[in-house]
Amino acid sequence: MPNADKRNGFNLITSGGRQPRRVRRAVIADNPTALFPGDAYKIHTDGNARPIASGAEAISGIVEAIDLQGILEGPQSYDYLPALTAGGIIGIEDDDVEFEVTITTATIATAYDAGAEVDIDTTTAGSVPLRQSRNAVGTVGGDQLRLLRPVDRPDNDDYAQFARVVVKLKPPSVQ
Amino acid sequence: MSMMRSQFQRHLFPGLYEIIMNKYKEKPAQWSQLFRGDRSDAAFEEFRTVAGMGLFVKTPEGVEASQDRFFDGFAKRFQHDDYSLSIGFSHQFLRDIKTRVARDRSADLGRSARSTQEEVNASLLNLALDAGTLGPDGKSLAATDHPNVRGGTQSNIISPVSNLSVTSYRLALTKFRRFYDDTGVRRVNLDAAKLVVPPELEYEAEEICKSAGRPDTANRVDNITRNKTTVFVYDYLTDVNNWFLLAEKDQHYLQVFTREAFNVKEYEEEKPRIMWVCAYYSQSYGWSHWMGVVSSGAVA
Repeated sequence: MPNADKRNGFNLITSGGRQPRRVRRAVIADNPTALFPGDAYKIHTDGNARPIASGAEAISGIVEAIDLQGILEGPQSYDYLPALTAGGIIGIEDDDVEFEVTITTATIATAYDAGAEVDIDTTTAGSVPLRQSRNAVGTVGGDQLRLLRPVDRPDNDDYAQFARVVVKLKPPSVQ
Repeated sequence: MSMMRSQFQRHLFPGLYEIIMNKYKEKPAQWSQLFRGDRSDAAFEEFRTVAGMGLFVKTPEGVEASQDRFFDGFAKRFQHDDYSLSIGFSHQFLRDIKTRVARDRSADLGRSARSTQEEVNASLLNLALDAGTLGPDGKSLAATDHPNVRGGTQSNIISPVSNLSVTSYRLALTKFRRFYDDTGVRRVNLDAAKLVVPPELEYEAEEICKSAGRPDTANRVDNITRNKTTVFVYDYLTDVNNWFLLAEKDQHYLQVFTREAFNVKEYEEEKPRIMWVCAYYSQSYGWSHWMGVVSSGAVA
């Protein structure tokens, strides 16, 4: 199914031969939209993580998983955080590691070489039955993420729409 | 409601040549030929899908290997339903009736239970296109946009939606070759096994699957899809036009669980002197994955 729209958020693809920097972040119950593994998030001034709402917000990290909490008698917990639900996430906040993600528009080879930047595309809501992000990245010309290269898979048409590409977070100092 | 003598007055004296009741041959069970049947020993049964890894990434010299992971998928819970039916006869009925009509009570309950199972389990296909009957992926069994666990969608309806013909049958066979697993990138091997049609399409289907020559042309052309699948005439399909192509039972997840087999209990209600026969069974049905089913779509 080459380059069909298969967005499923940000997924760690390489981490420079080491473990990425993982952080547990709290999410309080005022998060306006659900937060799924694979979603980008930002840390607000109150210190809590919330989903990225638009391309105008700086990305602090990517949700890798929801912090498993023991509730009642067993290890039952959220596997995504519904809107207005408090909880904890395990996020990757590391601007060295690389994430695989779908790009919703066609690109050209030179865009990657020129260190292009892209914004997140949050137009598709996460999948509740699958507990997965549907984040993607959009047109070259944003400033949220650094676009590195297409993923060199046999089913990936590198520069066409819905290609799988590699991006990384920008250092906090330049966000 | 129990049965009284007044309802069967002619049975109170001799001279009846024959009681015509369960004299007709019962249909053989059909659902068990099409769907997976298993016993359950729990309050419910659950399935869960998992998507594996994507394709390998070409890796230049000295570059770190890419990583991937499994993705948890859909959950399907089979919640068993209990079914029961009872029939009662007054003491006077059993004492005075001269025929054997009351003796058929348990047998008729069994026959009724089997018919109920057929009607209920046929819903798997009868409601395959019903927008209000959704499966674990949030779609009908037959849908153009079944979501893959790792993103993207697949259709199990032929395009264009069409009545049974040589062309549409071949479209369905081709669809069987084009499926991916839940990763959306790894192809799976499914063997189309049964062309499932309502009785109204029986001869059309037989012609397509058994003719030596291609049945839709006057030209001399071999019927190259002859015996590709068997024909299964499903008497419980309600729509007279919609048809399906199903994989072998071990390659699809249309499932029926039996929690409690058909069983009968007899007792007498003492004060009114009514003899009751109660029958029970418990089962659930559903699908935990749509793979292995191709639908014609809703055709008229």
